Amino acid sequence: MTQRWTRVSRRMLFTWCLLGGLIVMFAPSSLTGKLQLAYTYVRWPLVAGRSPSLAGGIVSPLQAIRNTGTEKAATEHQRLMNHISNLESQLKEARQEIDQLGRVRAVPQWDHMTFLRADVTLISQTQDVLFINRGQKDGVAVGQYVMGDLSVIGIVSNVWTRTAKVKLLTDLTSKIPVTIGESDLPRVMEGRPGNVAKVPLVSASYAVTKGTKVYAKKMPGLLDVPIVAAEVKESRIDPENPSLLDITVRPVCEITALTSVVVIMSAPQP
Amino acid sequence: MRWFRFAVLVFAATILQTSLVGMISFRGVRPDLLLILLVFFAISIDPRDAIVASFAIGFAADLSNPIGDLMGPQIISFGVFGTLLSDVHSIISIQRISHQAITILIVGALTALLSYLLTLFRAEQVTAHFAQQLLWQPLYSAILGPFLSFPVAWWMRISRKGRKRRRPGRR
Repeated sequence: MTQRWTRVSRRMLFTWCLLGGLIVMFAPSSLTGKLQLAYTYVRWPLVAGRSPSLAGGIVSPLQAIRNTGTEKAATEHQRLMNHISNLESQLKEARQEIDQLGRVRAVPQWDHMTFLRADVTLISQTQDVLFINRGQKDGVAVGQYVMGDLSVIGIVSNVWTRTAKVKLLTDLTSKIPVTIGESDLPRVMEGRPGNVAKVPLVSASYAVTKGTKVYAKKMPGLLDVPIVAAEVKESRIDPENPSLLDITVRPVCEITALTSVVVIMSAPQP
Repeated sequence: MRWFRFAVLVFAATILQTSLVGMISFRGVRPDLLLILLVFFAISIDPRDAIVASFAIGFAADLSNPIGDLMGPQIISFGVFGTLLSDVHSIISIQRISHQAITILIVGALTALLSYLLTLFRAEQVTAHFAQQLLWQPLYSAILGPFLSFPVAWWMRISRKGRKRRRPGRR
């Protein structure tokens, strides 16, 4: 055996050893890690009983492996915490949606209507239009009524794939069929500058006082029951035509404070 | 060469390196017992045995104190410089304590440098204590090493005079 050992040249011996080192170096870390772990297990009983003070400043391989594991665990923990935060956020959002839709559902007459909650993405500076984060893919269509704080605030005027524009009842081109107070007199509410609207052509014989509610008129297929939209801000005899009233109304909902709205999902107007 | 004694010695050195040596650390700098053993065996035993011993000590160094969780760089660096030192010792005698100390310092720096460079091949991050491993640890080892060679020589039953230099022209 010794004879065979001495026959190997130093150069060959060095080459073999170097090759072995290179193999270890480029071996998968899972294998070399097992070697280190095995050494740690062999070493551990010998050093386990020593005083903790002796370990000051020393990072053993086991500790290093544990540290690596701790780092991985910390990373995973952080990832899970982020996931939990996201879920909590989604839960909060879902609760808000349930709350809002629940309030809508609390009105018995609205049971047979379908609602879609949408977030307000933008309100125009003139407060005549707003944009929502729902569009064609969500079933939103032009002509559908939009509610805010349980009152009609406008009608969908444009729809894109993931967004839609709502023309508010104060928009200058807005024309929404309404009824005033408890009367069934159908009229059209027209938007005016200054965040108000007018209800023209109301006879002076009707008693319309300040604070009277104005309802969006029932429109089969779009709005199955009348829903409050505005209240009378000012009612007076029209100076140009004394037989008519000059009725100024304002929305019953604070548009600028809206963060979400509800779209009444009905068949779009042909 | 008494390989069993060698194995026990190297194993004991790795245990001490990762445990009790911390007691004599100075500002976080610890002597490298395996480096001291590397130099001792490279200049004390047969060149053929020195090659195997150098790589084996490098393997122990990689096991006990891996650089960036990577094995291999110290096997190669210890093996290469242990073999080189063994060859150099065949030409230049390294018997005096001062010479041994200087040798430990130089070999320690070179092995640390080569280990660092080899680690760059595999690891994305290399130890931040490179300066410590390159200079201060070899320096501390150089101060301590020559004195440790006495008990090591006694354990290995090696004469302190070491192996004789190879005569020129003799195989």
